[in-house]
Amino acid sequence: MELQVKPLAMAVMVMSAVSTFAIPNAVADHHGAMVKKGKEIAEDRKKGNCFACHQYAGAVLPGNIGPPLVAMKARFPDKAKLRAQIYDATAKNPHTSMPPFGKYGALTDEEVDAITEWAYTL
Amino acid sequence: MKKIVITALTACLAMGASAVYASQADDIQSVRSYFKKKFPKVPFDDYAIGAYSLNADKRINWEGIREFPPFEDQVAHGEELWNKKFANGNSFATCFGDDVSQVRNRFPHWNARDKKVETLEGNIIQCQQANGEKPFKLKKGDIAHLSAYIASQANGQTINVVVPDDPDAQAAYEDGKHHFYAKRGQLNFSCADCHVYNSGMNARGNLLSPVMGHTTHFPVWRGSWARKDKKGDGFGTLHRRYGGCNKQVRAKPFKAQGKEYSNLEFFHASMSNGMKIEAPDYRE
Amino acid sequence: MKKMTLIVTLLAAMMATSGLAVADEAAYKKLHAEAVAALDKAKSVKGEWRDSRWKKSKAVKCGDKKMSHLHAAECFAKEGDYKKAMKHAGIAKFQGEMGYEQAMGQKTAGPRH
Repeated sequence: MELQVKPLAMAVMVMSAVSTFAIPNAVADHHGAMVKKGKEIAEDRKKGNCFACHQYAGAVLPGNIGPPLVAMKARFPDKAKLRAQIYDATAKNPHTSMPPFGKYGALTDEEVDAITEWAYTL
Repeated sequence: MKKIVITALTACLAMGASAVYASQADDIQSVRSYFKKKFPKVPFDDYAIGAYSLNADKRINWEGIREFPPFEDQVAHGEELWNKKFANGNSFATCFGDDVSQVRNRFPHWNARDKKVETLEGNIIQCQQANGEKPFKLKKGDIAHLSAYIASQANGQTINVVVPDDPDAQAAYEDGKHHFYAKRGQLNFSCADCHVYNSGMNARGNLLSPVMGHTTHFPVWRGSWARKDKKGDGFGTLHRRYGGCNKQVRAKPFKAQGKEYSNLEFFHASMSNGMKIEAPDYRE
Repeated sequence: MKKMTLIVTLLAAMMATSGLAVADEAAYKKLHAEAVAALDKAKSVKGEWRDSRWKKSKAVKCGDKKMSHLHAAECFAKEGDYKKAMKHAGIAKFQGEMGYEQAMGQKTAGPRH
């Protein structure tokens, strides 16, 4: 019994050591990957196609139907509200020109999450 | 307002009808005053040239293209089709009358006997069928060439779509109006979202045109329809454009010359009442 | 004896797999029927979307052709790929339901100017 506990304790120690140092990096990497994926989906004409209506830094030939995507953190202190707007803008305003991307399945939930992360960097 | 009264009077005189359909007159006035407020500097007649009335750079480019129109050969082909005899010795003039300048502006109109909206292109097909000819394809090619020639012969005439005092005709108009204002498709856009509320704005590089003046210049020759991957020669009918718009918002398009688009045309063309025909024309 | 066990095991395995396949096919057929019903309902209010079952849709690739979600479901089912067939039949059904809901919500749409 004692013999079995020791390796387990060792393992726990090692794991906690790993988590202390490695996991913040992993989170940052994961976040970076989400933002990158979000940008790709946002700029895919068959997916988000955000620049058809919104200007943002680096957008090529953007439209101007919707407001420019700037200072998103200031405009949406609550990230969940930004996500809700991308998921279904008609919930707040039924007459909006913004498609309900998530509600109507033009984007999957994961794609909405990724675009939210990307938009939050603008 | 004066213009509307005059238009209304003309309509009454022309049709011998007792009254103009009030809803149509209200809709026209409402759209005009909306755009007058939105673009106070744009003169009424300028709306006939579509989005180019709203952007000086695009207008210069459009004027340049019109100096050497890319569609002249096809309009000439349309004239040949008009003059060509059918196998039975008749021709399109048998159906539409000998004076080709008096054809375009009779459409769209309500056919009280068949209880439906008739369009120029729909009646071209009907004429072929009645004479045992193989009908044209509905959206591009010959039908657009012939329609373009017929329209070109009516240039300068004032559009005046009449909704007669007939509940079925009024229901058809209201159906078309509803189609125009109802959101549809996975992207949830109505015709009005782009061509009323956001007209003058850019969707990517495309300037959204105002609904007023849309039908003055159809059929149109579009740069985007001339691309090789579209397998077309640039020309297309109004109903081809309707289908394209519906597809862009990811709605299933309706059949060209079917009831839905014919009713839509009845309303849509009314929004150009009082404007002059100038067809065909170039669009991006 | 060993041979016997092997045969029995093999037989059992075969029965289980074919049973699964039958269950997959039944579930797919049920979902497909539900999708058609949902799309018919959307059609009845002129609310069908482009990529649900329009014959010119190019939304999904199955084999070397592009097609609508419902057609893709049928195409994948034919290939025996019931997982993908279920996915696209499900999307077609969802689109039918949403298209119907959208059209009903737009019944009174008119000018706001």
